[in-house]
Amino acid sequence: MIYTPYVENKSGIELLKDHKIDEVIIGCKELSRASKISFEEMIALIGECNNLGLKVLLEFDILVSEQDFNRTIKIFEAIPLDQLEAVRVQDVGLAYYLLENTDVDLHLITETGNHNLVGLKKWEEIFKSKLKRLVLSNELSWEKVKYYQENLSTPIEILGAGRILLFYTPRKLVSIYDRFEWVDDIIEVSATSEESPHKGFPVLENQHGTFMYHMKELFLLDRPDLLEKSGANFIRLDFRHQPEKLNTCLDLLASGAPVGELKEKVAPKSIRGYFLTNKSDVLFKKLKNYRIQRKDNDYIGEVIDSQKGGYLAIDLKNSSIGLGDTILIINPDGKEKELEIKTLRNTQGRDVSTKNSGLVLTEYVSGIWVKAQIYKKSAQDESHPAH
Amino acid sequence: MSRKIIVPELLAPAGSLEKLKVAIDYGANAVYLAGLKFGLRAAADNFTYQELEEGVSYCHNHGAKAYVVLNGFLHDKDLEDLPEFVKYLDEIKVDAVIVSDLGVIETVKANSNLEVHLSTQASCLNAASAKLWKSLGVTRIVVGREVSIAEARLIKEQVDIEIEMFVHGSMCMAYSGNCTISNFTQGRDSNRGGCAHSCRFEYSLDQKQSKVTSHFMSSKDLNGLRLIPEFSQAGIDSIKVEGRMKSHLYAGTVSKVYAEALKKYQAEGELIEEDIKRWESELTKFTHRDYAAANLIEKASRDTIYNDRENDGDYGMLGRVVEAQDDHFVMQVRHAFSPGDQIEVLPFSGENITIKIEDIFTLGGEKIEKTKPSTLVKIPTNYKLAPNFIVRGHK
Repeated sequence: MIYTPYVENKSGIELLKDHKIDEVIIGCKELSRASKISFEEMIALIGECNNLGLKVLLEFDILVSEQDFNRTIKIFEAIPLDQLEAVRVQDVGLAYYLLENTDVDLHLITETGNHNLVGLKKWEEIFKSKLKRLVLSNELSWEKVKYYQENLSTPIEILGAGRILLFYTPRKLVSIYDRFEWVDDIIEVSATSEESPHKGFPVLENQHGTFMYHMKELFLLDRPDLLEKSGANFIRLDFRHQPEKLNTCLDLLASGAPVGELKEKVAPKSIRGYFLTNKSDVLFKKLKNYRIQRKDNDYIGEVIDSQKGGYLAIDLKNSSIGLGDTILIINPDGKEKELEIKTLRNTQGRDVSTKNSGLVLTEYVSGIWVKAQIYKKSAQDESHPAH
Repeated sequence: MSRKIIVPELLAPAGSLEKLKVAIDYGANAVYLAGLKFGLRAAADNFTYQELEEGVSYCHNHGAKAYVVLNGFLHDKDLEDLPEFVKYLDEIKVDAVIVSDLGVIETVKANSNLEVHLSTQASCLNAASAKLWKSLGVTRIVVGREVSIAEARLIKEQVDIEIEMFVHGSMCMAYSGNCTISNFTQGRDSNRGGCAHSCRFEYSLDQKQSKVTSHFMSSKDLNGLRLIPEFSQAGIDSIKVEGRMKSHLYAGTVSKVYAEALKKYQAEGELIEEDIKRWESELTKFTHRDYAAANLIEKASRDTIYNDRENDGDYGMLGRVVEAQDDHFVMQVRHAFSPGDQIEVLPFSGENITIKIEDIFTLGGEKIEKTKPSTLVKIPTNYKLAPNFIVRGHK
């Protein structure tokens, strides 16, 4: 398990070697979403890291539109590529371009989605030997990370400490309000909504657009047991928003400080996100009323009018209904009733013995509402269509 | 002889079987729909197996295509049920599936001969990316909503692949697939159908003593009606309407307006201002936000932020015709109206029919003074109507 921090200035890089850090991530404003340093500063920093024997991973994580593509590549090509260990990209177009047109090694950032082994394996197959690392999503549980680590041949990396990016748009959403100050070509504000239980989302705008982060950081370093079990080869430390914390963190890790102290001093307001478990689909069941959802077996149609003391109007969905049939009615509240059809009329009020499609009226059933689902109840099959 | 003008396919949303029929009846050339799983709208009605089969048949019988969305970012366990589902889609002759996840593409390819369209959710923004997806068997790219028509044209020219672009409807403010607000604040995976639309909330933005209250992450709705000539000239293969969660009135009106505009442009090689204004007026007659062209021509500017709640529109859907006879029609009522009110019936093509209501009856023949939602009523008229015509009225 190797720690991989971001660095954005020269101060303190000498200390990294003391903490057995041997690779760092460096970006610049032009190529990286969140970097605060200029291209020239980045080049100088890359040289400095090279001199100290630190491997440099270039962060090139912006998404690039067609009209900006060539200009962006030109900026990239001005970097001394021989001083880089690898280039980290999320835009698969950029990754593919680099694969076809350069000799650089790649770290593919698969943080948006890529929550299945089939897809991750395919990325390995596409980028072959040039792919040196897969940067995994921060929505994965440690067990899932372990599963991928065991089944992929490429080393994997996860975020161990840092801001959780929630939202990335190329649109400039904050600078339109001219009252906010820019610092280092960035505007940072705090966003709070009464419609959300959470308060104080950091929102940043820079030349690449607007970014919203979770108000709490992701911090997994207080669960070294699970990090170890996950098998993640690299743990990324992103303290770019509070650079002074990096050395504190590394010092505490090196001294074997209790995890409680580590969390308290480095990331007191933090969460573990989905690292323990991901159940982000369990609430889907509550998003709609499944009782009014049609089931396929023996489906006849839907009640579209219910006149007390009068009739039920059924919209037949290409299914027939006839006198003497027994139907099962499932109401939107889940209540079920059986009905033997004794009367059938068309909308002109004429009696019919059977109807194959369209509207048909039958006797009123107390307590049955519009949107109730109608199923044919067959004598041979007592199985419940809804089960 | 003048050169034949090729116009894009009109691709409309189908949130349910009923809405699918509405979209096709009102002129869409294709629809996109979802099964009960694997899409991005867990709260939509979506389609059971039989409904899918009926929907696909309905499209094919009307010379239209049906694409099924499988565009969630699926987790390993979600993939377990996918092979059976895609085999079924292949069997019922779905025209393509719309996919954003590489694992899903691989699963589709391993289990079917279905055509694969890349969802906008994959944020394909450049030709290099399109080239990669094409090499993986994708036949159509739904480009990211950040891509302009001019950029889409460049991508098409360089990669020789079908291009689909959004033309109308709500817009994600974030790069699609790059938003996890719901995931981390509501515990609902937005990329598997649980989006809570947190970007539509009103926020207070604070920096030291400065403060602004704004719906700063809410985008105006897209409206590319005026750009039909540009889409056509750029060789865009399909223009897509957003909105599987939206109403029948929306599905019908948008399909009708765009179908008419495409037809007119194909026949005459231009759109005249008078028609555009009439169509634009129609596009305000349902719930919507203010409109903008977003990124279609140039990068979306500050004018594309919608600092308000959704506008309900001046019109609402009163119901739909469920049966039509020579002297009356039966209508399923959604919103109440009374004798003396004026209603507008939207035929599948051509001018809308305005009817002043004189009498309203129950199906039992009893005269009523005011309709009730979720009931059937009989209305005398001599107009020739047809089942599934939408009826709307001024609010």
